[in-house]
Amino acid sequence: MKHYTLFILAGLLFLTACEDVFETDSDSVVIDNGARIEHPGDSLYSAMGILAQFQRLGERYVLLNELRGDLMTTTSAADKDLQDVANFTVEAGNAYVDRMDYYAVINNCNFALERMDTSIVDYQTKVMLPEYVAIRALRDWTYWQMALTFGRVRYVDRPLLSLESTLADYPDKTIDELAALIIDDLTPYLGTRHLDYGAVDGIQTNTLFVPLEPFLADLHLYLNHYAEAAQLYYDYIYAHQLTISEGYSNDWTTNTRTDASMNHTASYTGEMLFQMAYSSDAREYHPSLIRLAYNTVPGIEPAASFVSMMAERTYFFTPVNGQTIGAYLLSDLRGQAVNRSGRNFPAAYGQFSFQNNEKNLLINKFNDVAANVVGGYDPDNEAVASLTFIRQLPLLRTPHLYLRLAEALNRLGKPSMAFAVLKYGLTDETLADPQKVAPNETAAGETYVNFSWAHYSNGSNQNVGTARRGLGRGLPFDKEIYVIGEQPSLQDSILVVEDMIVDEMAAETAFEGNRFFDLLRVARHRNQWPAYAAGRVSRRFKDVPDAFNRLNDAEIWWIK
Amino acid sequence: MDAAAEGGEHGVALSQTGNDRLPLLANRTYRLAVAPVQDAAGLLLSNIGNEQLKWETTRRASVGLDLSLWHDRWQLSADVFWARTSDLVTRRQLADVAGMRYYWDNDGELTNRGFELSTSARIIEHKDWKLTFGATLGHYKNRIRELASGAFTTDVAGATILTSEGLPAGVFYGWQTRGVYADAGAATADGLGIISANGDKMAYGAGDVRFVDQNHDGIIDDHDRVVLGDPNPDIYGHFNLQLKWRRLALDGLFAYSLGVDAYNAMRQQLESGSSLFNQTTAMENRWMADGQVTDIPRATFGDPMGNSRASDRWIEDASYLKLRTLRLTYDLPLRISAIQGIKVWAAANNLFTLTRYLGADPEFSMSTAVLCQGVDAGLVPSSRSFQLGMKINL
Repeated sequence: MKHYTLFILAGLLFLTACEDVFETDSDSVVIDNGARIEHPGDSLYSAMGILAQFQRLGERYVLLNELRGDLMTTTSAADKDLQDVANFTVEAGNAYVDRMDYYAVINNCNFALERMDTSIVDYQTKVMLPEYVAIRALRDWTYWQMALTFGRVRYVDRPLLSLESTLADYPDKTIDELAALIIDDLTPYLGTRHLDYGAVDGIQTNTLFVPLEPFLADLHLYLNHYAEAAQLYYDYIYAHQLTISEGYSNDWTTNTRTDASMNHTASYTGEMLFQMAYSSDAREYHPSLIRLAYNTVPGIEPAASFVSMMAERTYFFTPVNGQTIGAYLLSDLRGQAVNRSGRNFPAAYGQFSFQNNEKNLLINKFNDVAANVVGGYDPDNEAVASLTFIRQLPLLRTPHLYLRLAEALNRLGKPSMAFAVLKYGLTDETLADPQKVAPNETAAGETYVNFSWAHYSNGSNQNVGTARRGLGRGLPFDKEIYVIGEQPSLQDSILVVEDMIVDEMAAETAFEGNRFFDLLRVARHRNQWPAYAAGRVSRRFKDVPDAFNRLNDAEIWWIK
Repeated sequence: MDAAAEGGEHGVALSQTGNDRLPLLANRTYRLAVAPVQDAAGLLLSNIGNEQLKWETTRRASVGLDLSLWHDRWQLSADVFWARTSDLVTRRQLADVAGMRYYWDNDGELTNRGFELSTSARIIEHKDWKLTFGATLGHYKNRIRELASGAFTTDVAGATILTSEGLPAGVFYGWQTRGVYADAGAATADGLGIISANGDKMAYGAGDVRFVDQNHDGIIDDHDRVVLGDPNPDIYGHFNLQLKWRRLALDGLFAYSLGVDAYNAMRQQLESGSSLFNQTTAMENRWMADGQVTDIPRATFGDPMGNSRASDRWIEDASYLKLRTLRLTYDLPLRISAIQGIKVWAAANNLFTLTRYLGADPEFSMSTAVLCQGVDAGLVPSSRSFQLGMKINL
């Protein structure tokens, strides 16, 4: 018996000593055991994890929204799937029909939202609330991008963590339903502290999270809720004291087009409010926009119709401190400038020649957000001298806000004030001048027409018109060319100004990923979807009437 | 001579075993560390666990017969087995709402049938001389019987492995070739090409591989893939000889495998002519001039025409006969009561291998996974070694 007892005791010891053998936890992954997110580190890690997936949507954001617009097109060297997007001939096997990356962001957001304990307080501050709201906004922004791409979404608001849950049915939401849903979802959180973890890897982290007011304003604008949209855009502009700065202008330095001062491309990052950021380590994931756009064999290029439109605009030359127009020159310099000798000054696009000495018209904008590895090389891109990759992808800039504010003001029956955003800039002086802004448009005293702040009267920070940045210092002095003109009715003025706003959005924010949304909104304002967009986009096709007929079918615009 | 069978046994064995080599944490939902930018750590959902996942179950039945003849001088045994493995662990596609591509599931059934024969004989049984011989021979056939989610392919080190009902596990899938176009005229006459990423047809030219257009549509694409080879051997086994003279013994162990196809992934890399990697001397015979007849295509950076794709260019017969071990042993004559015996021995391993396989060693194994069988990814081969040793029995 003694022997058996010894064996039993030994066995028990063995089991207790080796109980970790039965433990299936891991040091290399974080297994989901239903635990709540209750610590600051956990919520931070959740937010950062979501951003790591979120950044995978950047390339698609730019390509799918610009190639369904009138400013960018594909070349014959582009991937067939991308050419099909640009030609509106997407079929079922197209790589861009895949929704997995969007839902990866959404599922991770839902996971964090479900697990976060927002009731944890430090005195009276709900410490988890800023992360909660930021993640909620990221999720809703991702849903919105899906809706803009595919026309409808399967809406899931809880994390899918089991096989059964991935096989269940979830409700379909149209784009209109989704816009209303997101407004209801996020409006209660206005005023929550915006996340800011300081600078990480050279990136200001407060620009990595969705700014609530502009996002909600966009949705209201889409739904034709103009007053709500204007108020939200204004609130954000006011709270952050945002101005349209003259410093980001492109100008001829002489009235004979001998030389140009080109500063506008710096606004792509200089005025950035919201972005996707990428690692400084070249080995990590980065969008391929530079390889696609700036290459000896590019896959995307500026649409010829857009380049022509920009080239035909009038530039109003006035020297520094001048008070009159000194010369009328050609072209909006935010596209490119070509001097009298034929020398090219690239801006959003430009002429480049490489070893083969052929001149290629290439999109230049993405070079402003690039980093490079000296000594490295890209075997797929002979146009760059080193390994060049994108570090930042701006999604929202100050001009976006002002131009969409103009869009809302215009539809609120204030076309001259809207036009002032383009031509004069919203300042005390502009609003007080009846030649520039009709007094009746500001008489009601809505908050969003009040630009009478001391800040804006300060000469060094004075708002300028967005169009001044490409059409010259003399633009505010023009009374004949860049004007609304005499229109039979207010409605006609609104339509004229709206077209000018759409053109101005093209010039100011080309290739940034917002073009399809711009055309969609304006078409809906006019109750002319998709005809209005078809009219614009068909211009970049060889057979314009045929393209218009094809594009005049609402279903063709969605990637499916 | 009295050759009566003096002993014989027969047996039936039934067994059920589980293969618990499941992918790590496949049944758990977990998050992995990621970094959106440098110095920023985050956690991201990376697996949706299938809590229903279970191990593969193998049910095996075998019938065996053992015979001994001539006073145990000659022994024979034969085993026939049937095995059925169910609940194969495979990857299946998730719905896009999951935000992930795949999950692990049990799906499919595989059967294995075969036999193993072995024999050993004491050929010479003399006071001073002894000679024994032993040999085994095995053969099996496996077939995938059921795959609910349908056939799928898996990329392994450049090889494409097809898993499909009715086929053995691990077969190579790819394109057949018929040499290289010696000149532009030959290529034009065939009229074949590929569809490039931008949708244009790119025609094959002089120096390109001549792929077989299985469906005769003029385009070489995935529809022209066929089964190229089977990494499962036709027969395998070993045989050994031992010759003893008094206290000296010489043992030799040979191993063989016949009818096994291998995918030489090393050659695919070192004879692709498509990158800046070092290439083998075989590339000196690559196509370089009009009219040149060779089976190695031209070198083109990036391989736009896919000349080095997964094709029968990399499939080789990896049958071999190997002298695995040769050992000489001497039993020292001792008269020490505390020590029962001392043997000293010298051995050589992997002395020579007879094979047509061009890789370093036809007896390779990339991993123990079924789908990796027969893919030579250039792991360290068995090398020739020499050993001296002493064995003391106390």
